[in-house]
Amino acid sequence: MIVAGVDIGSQTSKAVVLKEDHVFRSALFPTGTDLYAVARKVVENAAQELGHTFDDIQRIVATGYGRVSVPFAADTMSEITCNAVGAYHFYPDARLVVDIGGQDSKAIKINDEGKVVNFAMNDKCAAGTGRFLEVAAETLGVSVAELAALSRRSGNRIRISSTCTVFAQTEIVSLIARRTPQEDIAAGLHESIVSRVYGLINSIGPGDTGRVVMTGGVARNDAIVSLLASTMKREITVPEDPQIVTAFGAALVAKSRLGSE
Amino acid sequence: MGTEVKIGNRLESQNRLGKLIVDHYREAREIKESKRKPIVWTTTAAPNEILWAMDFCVLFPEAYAATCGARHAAYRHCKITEDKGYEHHLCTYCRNGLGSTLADIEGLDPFDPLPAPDLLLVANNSCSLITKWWEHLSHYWDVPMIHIDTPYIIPGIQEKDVIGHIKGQIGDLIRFLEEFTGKKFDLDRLREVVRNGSESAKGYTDMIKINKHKPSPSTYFDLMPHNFPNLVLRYKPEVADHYRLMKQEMNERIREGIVPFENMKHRVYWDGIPYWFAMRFLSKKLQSLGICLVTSAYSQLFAFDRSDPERPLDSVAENTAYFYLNRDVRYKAEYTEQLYRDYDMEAGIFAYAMTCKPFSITMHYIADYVQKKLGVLSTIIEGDLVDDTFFDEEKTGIRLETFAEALESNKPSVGKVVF
Amino acid sequence: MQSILDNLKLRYSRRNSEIVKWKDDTGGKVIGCLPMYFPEEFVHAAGLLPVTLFGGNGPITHANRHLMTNACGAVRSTFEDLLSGKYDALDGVAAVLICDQVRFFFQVWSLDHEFAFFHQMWRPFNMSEASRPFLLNELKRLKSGLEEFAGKAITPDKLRESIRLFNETRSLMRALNDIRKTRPGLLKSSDLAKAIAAGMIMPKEEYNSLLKKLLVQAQDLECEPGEKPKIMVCGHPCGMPEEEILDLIEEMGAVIVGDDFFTGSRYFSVDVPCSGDPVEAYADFYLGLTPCTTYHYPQNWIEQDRSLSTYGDYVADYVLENGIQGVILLREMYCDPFDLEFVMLKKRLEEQNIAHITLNTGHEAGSLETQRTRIQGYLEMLSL
Repeated sequence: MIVAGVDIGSQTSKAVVLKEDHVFRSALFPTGTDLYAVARKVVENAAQELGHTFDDIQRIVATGYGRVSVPFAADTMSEITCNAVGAYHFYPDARLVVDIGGQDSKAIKINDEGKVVNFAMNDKCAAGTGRFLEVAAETLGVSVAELAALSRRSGNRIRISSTCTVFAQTEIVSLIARRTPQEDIAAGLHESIVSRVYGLINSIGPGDTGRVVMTGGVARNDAIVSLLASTMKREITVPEDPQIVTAFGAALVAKSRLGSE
Repeated sequence: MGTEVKIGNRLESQNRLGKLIVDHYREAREIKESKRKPIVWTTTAAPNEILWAMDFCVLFPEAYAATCGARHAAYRHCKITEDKGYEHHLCTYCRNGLGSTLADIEGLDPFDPLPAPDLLLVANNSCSLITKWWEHLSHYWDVPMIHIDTPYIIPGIQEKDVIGHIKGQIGDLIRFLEEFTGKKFDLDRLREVVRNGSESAKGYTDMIKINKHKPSPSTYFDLMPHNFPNLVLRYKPEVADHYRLMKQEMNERIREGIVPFENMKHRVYWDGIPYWFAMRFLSKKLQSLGICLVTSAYSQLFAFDRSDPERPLDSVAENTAYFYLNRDVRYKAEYTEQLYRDYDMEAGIFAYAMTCKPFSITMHYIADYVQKKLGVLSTIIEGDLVDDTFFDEEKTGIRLETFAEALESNKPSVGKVVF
Repeated sequence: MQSILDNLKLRYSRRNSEIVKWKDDTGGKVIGCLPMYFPEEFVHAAGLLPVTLFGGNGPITHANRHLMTNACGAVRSTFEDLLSGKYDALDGVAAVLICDQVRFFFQVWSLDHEFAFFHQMWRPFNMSEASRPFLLNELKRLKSGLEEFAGKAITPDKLRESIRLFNETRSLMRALNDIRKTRPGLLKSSDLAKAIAAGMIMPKEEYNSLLKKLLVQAQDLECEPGEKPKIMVCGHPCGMPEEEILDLIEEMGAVIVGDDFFTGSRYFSVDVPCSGDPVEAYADFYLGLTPCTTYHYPQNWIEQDRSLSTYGDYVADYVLENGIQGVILLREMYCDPFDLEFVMLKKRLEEQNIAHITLNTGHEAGSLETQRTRIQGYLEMLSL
């Protein structure tokens, strides 16, 4: 059995190719504008890593915002379900998954069977997503990683009042003009994104038992993870490769669909 | 302006006001402890005289919201409601009130919370959102709420029907309160409360008008907080004294040629609810630009000028019906125009509040109207009642500077609002 | 059935030019009624044509000169239509002041634009018997205003006749709704909403006869009963719900069996009583309408063991009575009454373990792609 899951996100595309005994390899590329090409390329790469070719794959499930642009996929499935399936596979005691990606963030509540019982996605704008941090870092003239490092050194976290990414940018500029220390601005920015995500989590009623798993690119930012953990007063688990959890979930769905045919 | 300019110190009346406010809240906390009176939370222009006459401790979540805004605590309360699923763009007075309530109930340390209510009273004459706000308070505190349906004064409506409708509900309210407290309603006591209220209202209205004098002895932002006694304490006889003393103090200033700040150049109208969190910023900015805010239609919200001890029930119903926000837009536009004339103001700043529909939704129209009628300059700034996430100091500063430059060039614009 | 349906949809899409055409054909006068709850029967009984004003979907430009963007799409887009001349053919406009935006803003319509007939009506927020006398006064004030404008009396018989006609419309609309409910797939929800909206802009006489024909034709049509999850869609109280969202829900394999749209159940669920004094009957009708987030139900707030939300009860009961699996809430940006009620509605649904999801819709809302993901994720959650 060889199956694959492909997750076409707004900024990066991920694929996981899976065979027996949950042996898998993954690949990741920037999404770009040609969704079909990137989907094909990312699946091919993951297959090669596993010593196979694209044609060896028996079933493919596509997910992510570009899922409808993957004609070679047998099914499409929302990233909400795939993310939950993936996270549950790695951590069967996971009851809440927080996924912060490039353009969106999600909070997904799952039960002891791995079934989604409630979820929420950010709406309206990029506040509370990876994009927000990128824009902010750019405005401060640092990298996202440097931004996280800066925030840890802050002695006086200031409050960023703008909830919109574009307005926050103006606000940062005026903070710089007022000679606010970069560290404090950085800390304020992290606080701002965490408070957005926390609101999202609250909107579905996070429950107070079970593991909290964080996935998506922003899960690599330990400043965000620890701030969210302290805001929620919960421990947060980050998988080894948080960006491929959704693609992995899609591969698992492909596997179960293949089995049921 | 005379050649010799004297700059006024802080008004003594500000200290007296501070004490009135502190005493009021201290008494409320004492009442909560001793349980000697039931506590009711009410809205600005509900028939509150009935509550005072029935010896309730009467508290105003809207006034509390303003305080939280001024003390930079409101955004924290607002944030709590957002986490509970309340939209960011909902009235921030409401979100502040619900946030502090939730914080209080869940032990989250709200800012100086109002003592918990035993009963809620609401009138929808300010807006209909407030009825929903009160419904939520009623849920969280698990206490009954009474709603007074207040029809909008629509042009052409039979005003006696409106008054009759409100009076009928006041009758129901009295019956409910008699049962709730186990006490009989006393019309003579109401008459006394209304008499005190009418004295207080006269004092308040007189005091506000002092700024008609040129130059004004104070800025509007100095006078504005003094709506508190007439709103919250007008059932007490001593409130009228406060306004009498305040008027004396201002008259003295006029006699001695004292003005509130140096280099006062422009007499300007303020429209809308003040941005409570930004008062210091706005005051400093406006002073630096030579702009003296003289008055605002906002003051009229706290006039309660129908109070008449000869007709206690009717006049209470009239105060509720003719609440300024319950008047139609043409009335408000004409009223504003008259203020410009009476106070001889050369321009207006219209403070749009992003979460307040009654104040803001017709603001463009009113600004246009006075501009067309009087050829005056208007500017609209953007902000909010108590949540500073809607306010941008830099942007507002630039706008006010541009506005001042336009005033300097002394060319009233024609047609459309300039900014 | 399809050709009548297409005709109705066309009439809805050409709603503004339909007014001009009707006036040319009949020489009659037209009163535009702002959503919701306007007593159209009174307008009809005065020999005038009541048409509901739906705003357009286009960009809002003129209206932004007078209104900030924190007004809801319905208020801004109807005002935009007014300013861009789309309502020039109307002889009058009228509204029940259902929310703060309409209440404070609607009058601005008349201040810059001359209307031969302009009427604002107060429907008490307090849904109780205490409101009846004032409500009756308001209905009488409307009646005399219309009589004066039309130059003829609205007799009790005439009003009763109009009520009968409108009740017939409502009952035909209910039958149309039943098709969607019992034979899923035959009638798209977006088509249903437009077919209902067509009835709010066309003369009821003509509309009723079209709808009767349509219903006869639909009798013989079959549909395959599937195992699709049943959904109720609510929210979006005033305007036309977004076609794309409804279509997405159905394309992704759910069946919409109920809604509470103004262009749906909210409009046709309740009839006006035909007996007794017709103005009194209308007051009865108002006091007994489908629960709405814009009103206050006092009994709930005084008694013990109170409900969280009358509106929430209505939604939860509907779901339980109709074997519905889940609720999709459409939230119009800047609709304060719904946004506040939403918090209690959500609690109520959670109490009942009713799965629900919220989609923000309306003018300038998020992209359809994110909506697709949400809907798909939600339906997967219901069916996996």
